Formats: sequence, C-alpha cells, structure tokens
Amino acid sequence: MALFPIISNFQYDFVLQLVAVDTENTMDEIAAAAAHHSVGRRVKPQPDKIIRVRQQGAKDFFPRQAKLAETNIKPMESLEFIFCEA
Amino acid sequence: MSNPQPFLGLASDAAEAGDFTFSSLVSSIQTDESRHAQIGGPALQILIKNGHKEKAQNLVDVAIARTWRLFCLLTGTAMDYATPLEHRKQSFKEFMQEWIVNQFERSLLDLGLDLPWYWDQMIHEFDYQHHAYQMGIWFWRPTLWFNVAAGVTPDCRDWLEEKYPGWNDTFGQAWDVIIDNLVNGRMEKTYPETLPIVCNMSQIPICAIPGKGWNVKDYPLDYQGRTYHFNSEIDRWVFQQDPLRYRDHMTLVDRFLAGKILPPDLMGALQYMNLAPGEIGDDAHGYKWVDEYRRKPEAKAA
Repeated sequence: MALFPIISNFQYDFVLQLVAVDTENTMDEIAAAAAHHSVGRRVKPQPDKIIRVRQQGAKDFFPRQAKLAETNIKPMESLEFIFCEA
Repeated sequence: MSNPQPFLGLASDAAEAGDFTFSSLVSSIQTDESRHAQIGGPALQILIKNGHKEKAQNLVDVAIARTWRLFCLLTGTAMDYATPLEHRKQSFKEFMQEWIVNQFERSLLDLGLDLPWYWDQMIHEFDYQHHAYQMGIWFWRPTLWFNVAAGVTPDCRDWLEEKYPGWNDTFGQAWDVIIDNLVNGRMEKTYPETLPIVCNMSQIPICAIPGKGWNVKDYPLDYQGRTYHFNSEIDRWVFQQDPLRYRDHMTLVDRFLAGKILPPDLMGALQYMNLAPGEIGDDAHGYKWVDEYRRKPEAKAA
C-alpha cells in the first residue's frame, strides 16, 4: 500500500491531470479514479462502455484486474484512459 | 509582441478613470519598453555580422517560442472569449496571421535569419491552443485571482465555429458537458478537484484539443534522473537548449508532489497561492449567460 501519483490523459478531455492512486489498485480502479476528474465534468459519460488503461503511445491495454504494483508504470507517468466496448 | 497591449491599454483605462498619474507612469514605462524592444534588431545584426548567425537564430527561436505561449494564453483568450462579441474585429488566429506571422517572417528573413524550425507547428497551434487555455482558466477559476468570462453563449459559439470550423465538435463538446451541469445545478461538477499537469517550460497546463479531435499528449524528457513534462515538442526543445537554466525549477505540481503544499489537495494549493475564499476567481458574469441555455436548451446543439 503506497500512494502513487499518475498523470491522467483521458480520452476526449482537454488537459493532463494529476491523479493519486494506490499501488494496490487494479487498472479498473485507477480508471475510475481518473474518470472522477474528467467524466461528467468535461467528458460526456458513456455508461455502456468500459474504460481501459494503457501507457502513452502503447497499442495494448493493461489487463483490467492487473494491480499497479505488478506493472512497469512509473510514478508520474502519463497513462491514456480510453473508452472501449464492454 | 506583448508590449503595446498591456501598457497602452492600462494607460488608456487609467486616463478614462481619471487617474492621470498612473496613466502617465504606465505610458512612461511603455516608451522605455519600446526602446528595449528596438535593441533586438540591431543586436541580432551585429551577431550575424560577426559570424554568430547560429547563436542569433537560437536566441530568436527560443524567444519566439516562449513568448508565443504567454501571448497565446493572455491575448488569445482575451481576443476570442473575453472581448464582447460586438467589439471583436478579427479572431486571434486572423490577428496572428496578419500581424505576427507576416511581419515576423519579413523581419527575420530581412535580417538574414531563417524561420524557426517549429514555424508551421506554431501556426497550426493558432487553431486550438488558446481555446484549450480558455477552458483551463475557466475550469480552474478558483486558482486565479480574477473572474473569468466564459465567452461561450450560443452567439459566441456561432462566431467561434465560423472562425474556427470544427470548434463545436471539439471544444464545444467539452463545453456542452460543463453547460449541462450549469443548467442542471450540478455546480460541484464545474469545479476541479485536482491540479492540471503543468508544463516544465511554460508553467501553463499541458492541454490541447478535446472531443472528436482529441490530440492531448505529454512530451516527457528524462534528464539527470528527473522526468520533465512538456506541452509540445517546441517546449521540450527550448528546455534542451539550456537545461542548466531550467532544470532545478519546480512547477506547482512538482512542489505538491514534494510535500511542500499542505494539505495535499486543491484547498492546500489555494492556500499555498495565498488565495483566500472571496479572493479566488469565479465566473465573470455570475453565470447569467447560462440563462440563454435554460431558455432554449436546443441552443447548445448549435
């Protein structure tokens, strides 16, 4: 358990934002934390979709249940949060 | 580039308000600034004449890049959003094309310099960067010490769409969400709960196009064990020209992460900036413009 800052680059939003998560969080939990600062504020909700996480420039998403500590994500790395089909 | 606007505008406003002392003071400062600005051309000529064209080019490229960011933030938002619609003579993009691009191109080529390597990219930014900054200063209005005009009434949006085709499909989409929250009384959703990531060069949030044209991107740089974040290749390039000058500076976000801002939340950041309740920025028109959307909800789909 350790606080871990990441940079959220949320699809359809206009700005990068600081989001505090935890090393024990799963990618779905991290996506929810990032969505809190974008969806419903400047990004229209898409309730029929899920939000997947990937590193900037990467093609593949992290597994949804992967814990942050199990990945190679570095503190203050820019992560892309993308709407995907459920 | 920025000299005439604040100084002449301030002097004029002060005179109109009857404060002739302040008006004279500001006018005097302006003439001094003008003289400083006049030094640029001859200084560059001397550098070039003495075989230092590369140095002259580098100085110009760095200066224009850094000035562009501030000009974009201050003048771009002022011209296309804060200026009442009936007083707008041209868009910021049109102004930049006519008064900056054309004149600077001529001046630089006359001096024997090349255009900065990023010239085309900078011109491309005329289409979107100041729109992103406008959304930033309005949404993060509690972090400012003045009230921000939204400038997105239905009529304003028609004007923006005419001047910047595609505005409604990009920035308009994000404003739609904000306006929907304002119309339906969800004020808490119109305020930020975290900090934007700030560019390690410009100190302005890293932002670009939302909605259908989404192109937001971080331009990171690992340098001596620290990762820096930039708004564009241009900002990153400026840093690389003189890293010793810039490397130790900490942005507000860096200070936040270093534990210098307590409590570590937006309220702590406001306290750090010495912004008390009552001083922090809000909507410049007290959200009265939202009434137009309440009256005709279909307007937002303009």
